[in-house]
Amino acid sequence: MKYTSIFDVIGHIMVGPSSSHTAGACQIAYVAQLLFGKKPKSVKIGLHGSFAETYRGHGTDIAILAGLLGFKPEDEEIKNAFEIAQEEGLNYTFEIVDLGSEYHPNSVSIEMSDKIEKMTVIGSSIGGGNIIIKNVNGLDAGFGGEPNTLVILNQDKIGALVNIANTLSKFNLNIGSMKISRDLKKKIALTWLEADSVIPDEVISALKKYSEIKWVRIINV
Amino acid sequence: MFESISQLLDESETKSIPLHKLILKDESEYTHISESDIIERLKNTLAIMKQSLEKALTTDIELPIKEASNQAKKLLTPGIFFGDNMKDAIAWAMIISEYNSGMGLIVAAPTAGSSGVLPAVLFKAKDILGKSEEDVFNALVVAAAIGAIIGNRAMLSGSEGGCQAEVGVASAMSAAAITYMAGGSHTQISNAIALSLKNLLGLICDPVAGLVISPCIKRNAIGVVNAFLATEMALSGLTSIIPADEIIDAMMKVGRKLPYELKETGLGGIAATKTGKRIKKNIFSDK
Ligand code: SF4
Repeated sequence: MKYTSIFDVIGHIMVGPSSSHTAGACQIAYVAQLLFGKKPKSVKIGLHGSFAETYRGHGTDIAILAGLLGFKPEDEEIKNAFEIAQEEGLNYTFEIVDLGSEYHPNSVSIEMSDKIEKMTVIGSSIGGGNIIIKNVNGLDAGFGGEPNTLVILNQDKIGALVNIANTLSKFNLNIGSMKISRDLKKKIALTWLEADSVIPDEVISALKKYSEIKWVRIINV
Repeated sequence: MFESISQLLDESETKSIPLHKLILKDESEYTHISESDIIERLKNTLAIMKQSLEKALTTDIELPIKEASNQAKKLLTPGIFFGDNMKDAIAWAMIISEYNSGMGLIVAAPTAGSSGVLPAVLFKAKDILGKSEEDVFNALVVAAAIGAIIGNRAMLSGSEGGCQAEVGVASAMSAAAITYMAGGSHTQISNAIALSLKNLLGLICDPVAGLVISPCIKRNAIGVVNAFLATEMALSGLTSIIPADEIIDAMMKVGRKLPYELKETGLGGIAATKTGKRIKKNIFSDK
């Protein structure tokens, strides 16, 4: 089911004009910078499908930039994202891309980088402000606006999942669902799971003790 | 979550639980969030809806399409063919919609483009029927559940299904809500949904220059009138020959079949008219 809560339908308090092209776009970018784990210095934004056709009209560009600056869809500062990006020295480019027909018409690819690292996130705005992150650094993904989501990048080796599950149970966290996508060549895996309750920050340091875990992010939107 | 309108209404009937209570209970079971937290969040939603109307009424809104700015307030005048109530309601919907187009803070219901319909219908129905805040709240709960069912069976976005999936759905949600508010039976609620959705079936999404301005703002007005129309019909005992769930399924199929140009790309419909293209060129020529 796409809509699992009545708040998916009337819960999006947001700055207009478009739930899919403004709020959803902002949310994808907001989650993207959470996944990056720090403020990017430079971003390359690729707009696909309907995003590519109408992005200027709906403020999609402003909204994506605002999300990357850490603003949520309901923040009335969104309007000023271009000015704020300039003040904060964030370099950005927009281009039109074709991600292929398997992507929803409202999709964007966001490449974030600083001096050390680079990450590319592809997300789709599926209507009414709801989003799905479809790809992280080439690995398939499938998490969206669910609260209490934990995203982990780990080496794909035996025992990795057990360590994750054990750590969460130590924190008394009940896992509602868990999914993994693997890159067999690079031997890495993206694991994402939804917990039934709020995930405390301490989970991150507990998980990072395991050498196979590269990074851990809590996405609580 | 409920898979169909009939499932929702039947369950409320057989368990004899009022619709809004059943929906809140189900939401809490499904999301593991307590009912009191859900209620609090919904009250906030309602408060923001009210706030956007109040703010929009007192704000001068400059839109990128100049000719489209500050049109709605002209409707705050005595009715000519419409009674004052109906004229107010369409004015409110368009005022909220203008505010949205000017990047104001609104509640998507179910989307931003269609965000004027539900608050305008709810608040005006409250006035007309002399109902309480609580009644409005309960009606909002019903509207949301109907929107979720339609979203899951079909879609809730212009880019996937055309404007029938935005203003059409907003109108059906509103019709269900006020039929409930007026004390309508379950059959009447189901008919109100069916009749309202049917009237806007096939509506395309064709925003001029890709902006949520034209036709969007004025389409919110038809969403309102259509919601009151369907409710008036349902409460008078009129029935839809085709059941609500089947109309939703038809809407899904129509939405899928609509060509790319007519699904929020700004490439077809009124966006592709001579004037529509000129407006687009004027707006974006300096960028
Ligand atoms: S025309 Fe398109 S953008 Fe405008 S309200 Fe309808 S669905 Fe939304």
